Amino acid sequence: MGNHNGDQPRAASCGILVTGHGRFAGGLVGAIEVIMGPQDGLRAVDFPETDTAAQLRDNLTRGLAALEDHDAIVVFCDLRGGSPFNVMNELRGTRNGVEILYGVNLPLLLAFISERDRGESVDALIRSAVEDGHSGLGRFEVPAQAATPSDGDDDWA
Amino acid sequence: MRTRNVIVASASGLHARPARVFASAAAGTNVRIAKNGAEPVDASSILRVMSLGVAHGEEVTLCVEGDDTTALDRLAELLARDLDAE
Repeated sequence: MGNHNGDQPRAASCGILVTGHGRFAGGLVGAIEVIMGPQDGLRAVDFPETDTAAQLRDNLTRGLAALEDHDAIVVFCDLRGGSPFNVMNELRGTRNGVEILYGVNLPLLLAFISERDRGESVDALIRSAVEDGHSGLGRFEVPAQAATPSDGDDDWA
Repeated sequence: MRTRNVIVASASGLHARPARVFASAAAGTNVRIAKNGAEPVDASSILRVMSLGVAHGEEVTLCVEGDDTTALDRLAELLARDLDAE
């Protein structure tokens, strides 16, 4: 990941831009705000079916501009190779300190936002949040003692 | 190591929002939280707190290395309140 010099921006001072197909970004940001409350420096850029690639580029450009006061910007994309990711990748050179993550899920974004005030560098927080994103994905294994509702209970639907 | 056992009072257990309140309060401490004698997890991580799957009325154990029980007592008091109602 990008900035490996000795003066890395702190996660607490970075802006966050979420983007993805359809209403992915607005939905994810909405979920974050239900859990964490309103967040400073958090923007969503949706890509609804009715938007063109040019509109997406304009919206992402505006999203980056809205976060220009931040030392760094971390962009959370839904799919690597999708239009939001591709356009963002083209725009990343327009300013320094832009990091792009892909395959984003709620645990990853929640980990990043809830832990960004701990004084870590952006790079360190990205690494730990990506791990949390991985570990937050899985098949739930029902504990053995909870596998059935109760002995003899036949109203299990 | 010092510990506190506490019954979780939140009406729906430690789901997302009560877990956020608890984890935020635990930030900057070294307190860990466990259920059913399992390996304790970082109390300041909302994801790890939620992953415990703590329901209303279940007992959890808070623990911290050393003798400083201030944060332990504060967090135990928090869990003993219905955070869903606040």
